[in-house]
Amino acid sequence: MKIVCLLLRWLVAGLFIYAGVVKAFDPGTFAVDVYHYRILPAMAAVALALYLPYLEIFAALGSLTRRFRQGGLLILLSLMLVFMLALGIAWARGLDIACGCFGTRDATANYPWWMTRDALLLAALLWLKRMP
Amino acid sequence: MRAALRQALVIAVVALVPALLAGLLHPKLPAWNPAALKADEVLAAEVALWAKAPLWVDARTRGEFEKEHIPEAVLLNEDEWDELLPGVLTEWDPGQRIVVYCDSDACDSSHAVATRLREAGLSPVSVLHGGWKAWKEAQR
Repeated sequence: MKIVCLLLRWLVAGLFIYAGVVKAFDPGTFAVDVYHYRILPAMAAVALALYLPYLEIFAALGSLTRRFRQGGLLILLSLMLVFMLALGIAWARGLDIACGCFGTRDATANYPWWMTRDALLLAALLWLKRMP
Repeated sequence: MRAALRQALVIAVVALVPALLAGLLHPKLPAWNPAALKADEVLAAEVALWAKAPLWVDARTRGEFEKEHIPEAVLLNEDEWDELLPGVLTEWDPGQRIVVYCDSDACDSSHAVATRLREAGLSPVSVLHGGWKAWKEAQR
């Protein structure tokens, strides 16, 4: 069980670090993706596009350390809930947008897959949060 | 829970540092930063969200227009103003928003054409921030 927990911890942190680095490299594209969700005004979308990638990276790094594990996981959990809420709103509005999740772009919106992926990540984070 | 919140706060504050540096120094800063917009400019991402499509007016040269342009756009540049203006008036529904574009931020013909259109009594007239290049970028 300890090994599974360790592997999952590294896998989840690796995913968030990857997602953060990709977005940190191109905040312009990410800002457009955020803006397309039609939740934030342009200025806030730009600010979020600049901040969120680093929050993901640092929270993921924190989750790998003993000292900041719980805080890092708490941030990642909160982010997942926010991402799923934003995706849910966009889905309900029928927007054909890029997810903006990992920097790459699908040809068309793929909400079922994005939500499933986020739900799996959320479950993994919840499980990790409960582990010592 | 309290300790987790405290740790989360530390992480959130630490993440602010590279974010602020990126805001100052990043080479790929959003070109459509609203702070950089002139009063009559709109963003390509913004136009895409309008319920009714605007009348796109291409203020570049005929050669550039014929090579490639925004779908449904009409050509109107200062060199051929008198010949092209009637065509624009035919295409325009009164009340429909007009968005003028030239090649990029480096050109000024879109602002000149927008000014002349307003002087001709057309309204509302906006300029596409970043021009043709920004529109192409927004399509990717």
